[in-house]
Amino acid sequence: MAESPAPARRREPGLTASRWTTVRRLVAEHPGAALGVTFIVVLVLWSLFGPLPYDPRGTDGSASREGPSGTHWFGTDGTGGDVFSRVIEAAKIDLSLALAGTAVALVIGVPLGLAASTKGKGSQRLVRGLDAFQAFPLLILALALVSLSGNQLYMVVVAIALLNIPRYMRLLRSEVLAIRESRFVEAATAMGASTPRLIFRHLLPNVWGVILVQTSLTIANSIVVLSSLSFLGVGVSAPTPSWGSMIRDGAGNMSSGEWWIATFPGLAVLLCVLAFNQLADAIGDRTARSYR
Amino acid sequence: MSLLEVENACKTFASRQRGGDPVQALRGVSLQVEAGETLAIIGESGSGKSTLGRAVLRLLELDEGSVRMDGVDLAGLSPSELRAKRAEMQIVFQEPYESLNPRMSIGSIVAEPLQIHRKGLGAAQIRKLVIEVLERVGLPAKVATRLPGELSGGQQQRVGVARAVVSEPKFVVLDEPTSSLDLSIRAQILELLAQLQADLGLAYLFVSHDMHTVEKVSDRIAVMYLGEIVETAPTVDLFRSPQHPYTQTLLSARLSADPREKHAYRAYEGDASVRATPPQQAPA
Repeated sequence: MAESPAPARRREPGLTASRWTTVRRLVAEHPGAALGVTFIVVLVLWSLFGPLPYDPRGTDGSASREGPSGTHWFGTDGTGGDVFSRVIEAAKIDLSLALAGTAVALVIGVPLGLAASTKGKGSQRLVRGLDAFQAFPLLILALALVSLSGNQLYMVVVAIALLNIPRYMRLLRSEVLAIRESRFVEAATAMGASTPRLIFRHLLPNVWGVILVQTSLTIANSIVVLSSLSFLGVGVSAPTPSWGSMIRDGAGNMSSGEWWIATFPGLAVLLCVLAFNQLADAIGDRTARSYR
Repeated sequence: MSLLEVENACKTFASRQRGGDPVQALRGVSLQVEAGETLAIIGESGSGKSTLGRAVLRLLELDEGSVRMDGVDLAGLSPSELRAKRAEMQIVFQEPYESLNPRMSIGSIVAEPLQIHRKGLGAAQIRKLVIEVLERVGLPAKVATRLPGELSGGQQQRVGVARAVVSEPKFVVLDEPTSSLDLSIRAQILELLAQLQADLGLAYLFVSHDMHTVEKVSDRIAVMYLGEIVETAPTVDLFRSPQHPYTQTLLSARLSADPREKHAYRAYEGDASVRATPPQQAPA
């Protein structure tokens, strides 16, 4: 993902860098993003295929609230569940819901944003409407939607999408309005390019970078929203482990010194968000706008 | 019948500031361009010359007046008919880099008009035509795989020219095509444009503010001032005996190549900076 938006800048015939060299250069230029991507990839692969030391849904009455040790790396929670196994397992549901919500927002928000990127009255009214929508406390809206639906997981995806569609629309609109004024779009019009050609050959390729940056940030934000929801007991429910609900379960134990129950899932959220933010930064650097 | 006939073109822009007076960019402009000739439009910044260049290609809509290409009124064409007609009329912009899509290779930039207007062509034929036109504008075939940012300003402008002529137009608007280039590059591009005109029989509408350039390239010159054409004359006549006082001012503002020659600038009443309230009658 890190290398896809950047066009080969130093394209020299006969001097094309091999894939491996390109990867090494990218890693050297964006160490934070490389570390973040590695973390996410390892986490995802482990949660999907990796062997877990204990059953993440299991309990063990004889070993509740044990501190981190050689047997339980991240300790155990109140019912004796292995925190490490649960943190890894939770990545499955947390990341897939965050990704799904972001994907829906992207697929709906980008075309709507393109459609709204005119200077007409209607498009300006639409933006005002989005302002009003975004002024609404969105986490509350998501909370209401999910609880009203009877804790349906698809509603979590819908809620994340609803929160982010307006952001994509605004971003696309402001970017595309600027590019529409550019000389090369005028040149394309002058040569007789059709509207689909203008959109797919001239507008979209020049906003891809910002779309990718926004997507990376949206994933990070969705992880936080999702964790907040499950912290509040909405969305993912027991026995499926999720980081938010684990933090809630462990919050009560913090005062009694059993810090590991809430801290490790909290760290997982923190690292994921950091990773996607680093990735967004790197993509932003590599696709710095050059049409002006 | 001339190739291009503009009659009574009028265009008023709303002021950028809220409550400001509207700007009359074109105030009843009429002109003709014959096949194969170069008509220069000269005037100071804000005289409406670039607006005129875009209006004749219908890149912006006129408030009044008509533009006919080969006798066909452009305003009467449907959007798809107009797009098809665009093969015959092209434009080269002042800013070489900004006019090229930074994400497209030179090859695909030059191929685009062919893909639009000559749908019957296969990829191999398009490739061949692109290489041909690149060589015609003095670029090696290998630049086809480069991105615009990897070329120099002069090369970028050659790409702009190649893109304009690849669809075999009859008429090209040159919107100050050399004013952002170095002097030496400028001469090369002008030479290229003259060569293309001779080879392909192109007609040019050469928009410029530079008398020296215009003197070299144009058959006729139209002088614009505050949205009106104040004088049109064959280049030789205009330089020998300018009729309108504004033209005389423009000519007197030129510096001679000979340092011993006395420079006599004659100021002209009326300034384009007071565009909102143009003189009711251009002083004659």
